[in-house]
Amino acid sequence: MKDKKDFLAPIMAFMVCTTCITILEGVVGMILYPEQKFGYDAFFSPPLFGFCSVLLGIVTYSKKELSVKQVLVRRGIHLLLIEGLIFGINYAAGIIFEPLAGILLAAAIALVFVTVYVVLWLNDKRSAAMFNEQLKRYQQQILESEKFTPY
Amino acid sequence: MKVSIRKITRKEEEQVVIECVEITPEIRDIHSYITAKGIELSGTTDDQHMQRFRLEDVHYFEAVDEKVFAYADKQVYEIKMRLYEAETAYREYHFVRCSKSVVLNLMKLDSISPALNGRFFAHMKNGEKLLISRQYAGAFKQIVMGGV
Repeated sequence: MKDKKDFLAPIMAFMVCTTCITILEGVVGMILYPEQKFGYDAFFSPPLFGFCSVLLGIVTYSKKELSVKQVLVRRGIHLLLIEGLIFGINYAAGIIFEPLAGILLAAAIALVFVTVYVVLWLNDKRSAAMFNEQLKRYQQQILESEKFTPY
Repeated sequence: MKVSIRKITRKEEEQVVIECVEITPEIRDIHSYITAKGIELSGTTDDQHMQRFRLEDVHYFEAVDEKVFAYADKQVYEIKMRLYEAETAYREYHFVRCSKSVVLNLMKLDSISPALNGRFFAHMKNGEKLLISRQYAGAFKQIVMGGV
């Protein structure tokens, strides 16, 4: 049975990713290229990069239960693919970064990547807290229903 | 209501008989109390002794290779049952599948916490930590959360 979480998690990842990329592009742009001006088409780049990044997340999907090590390796591959995608698109568009700018951009991409997973983890933590609260009620109800009713 | 207890010698002949004019909610309460408390399983311990133990003392069932083990309060028993059979037979006693190899007792679950990749850890009341796999996490949570 497909869990709705399987569909919601990528959507949430896309939202967080797009937000982070927008902020990232603003901050990195102001630092490295403060004189640069863009048209309206620039608004499409964060959701496009966000979509592509989530799409590349396919490498973390598996029908089998992965071990922690396998999950971490796949996430590493996911990050490398995103880095490759962004640098590749920039290279194809004729933008070649100076070493310092390249390192800064790579670090910023990694920061966005980590932020997305932290937000998803916080969401899981919130859902676990709700579950735990409900679990206590559930157990209490069961214990009460199993109590011997005196006459 | 009269209550009488008659002592017998053979354990396997123990039984509770309810004699009533009508099955009222109170009778149903007594019935569910007895059925929940009364289930006993038999299993083999590490030293190959066959022992009986109560279902309500079981924290979880785990399948390892072709064997199924019941982890009770103080002892681990190998039982002659498939994991899916335990899952089906004891579902109404709050046993829920949490991964491909584990069926846990919700009444012995203390809390859950997030793990990697949409999975969760189940922290049992005896201090053990089990994995709730992504595949079963949704259905698992649904049982407790219901419509919440």
